[in-house]
Amino acid sequence: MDVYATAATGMSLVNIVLLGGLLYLYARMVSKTHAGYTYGLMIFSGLLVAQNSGMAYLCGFLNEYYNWQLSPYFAAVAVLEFGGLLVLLRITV
Amino acid sequence: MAARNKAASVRIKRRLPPPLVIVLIASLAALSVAIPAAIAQGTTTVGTINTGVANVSIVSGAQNPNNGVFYSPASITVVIGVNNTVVWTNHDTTNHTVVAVDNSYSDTLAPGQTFTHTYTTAGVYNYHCTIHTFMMGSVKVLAAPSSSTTSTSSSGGIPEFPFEGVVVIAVTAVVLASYLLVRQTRRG
Repeated sequence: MDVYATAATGMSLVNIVLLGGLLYLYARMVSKTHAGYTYGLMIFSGLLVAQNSGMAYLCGFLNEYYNWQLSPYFAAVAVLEFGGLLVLLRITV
Repeated sequence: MAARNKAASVRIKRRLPPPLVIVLIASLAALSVAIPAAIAQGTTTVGTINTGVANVSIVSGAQNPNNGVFYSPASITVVIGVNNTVVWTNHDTTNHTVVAVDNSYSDTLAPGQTFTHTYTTAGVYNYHCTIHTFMMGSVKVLAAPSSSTTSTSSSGGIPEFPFEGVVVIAVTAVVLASYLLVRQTRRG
């Protein structure tokens, strides 16, 4: 596995953890405020968890089945997503 | 109203546990699902995928050189241990042949008949129809994934998806949130 695929896998797993934390926060907010916007954030986070799971599976387990030249792009997406999630977590907590 | 929302927001912020605790809880939850799944899939044999076949159709009208399409798909890629058995089916109204350029296999197919060949060595294999010499196709055979990459590749098939539990939880959250959002919207 090349370094980019490893990075993409690692970052995707970290993203899943961050999204798990966000989902927990949003669930708590929903239980108290029932705000429509928070429902939307839960949907958004849940879909991102599914996307990151797919990314981690693709880069970590199926890296022999796709063109390795795509790995840097996958890694870039995962890193950018990680940055965005950090910002989201920061403004949420 | 705005003041009430602000007060509620402040109350929520005060009651939230520190971020580190949240991340740790989430990590433990994710690992508790992912690790057993990963261990379980490491011992699972990928039996159904190994029997996978790739299908090539000899299309209707292939006897006509102006048809444009003869073998469909004309070029395919297969992976040993995954789908390295290719099945040709004659959907045309006349006989056709599938003959390897290196003569390693050949067969004549009457309309409706099939021919099956299993590739065991990586490489590119060109074939053609000896009756209609304009009909050509190729099969690119990729080697089975090496066992050094992951512990699960040793079975020769595609490793199972190890994050089923995580995805199930995420999809459940999405469905639940969508349902609640729709219900709230309808109530106005």
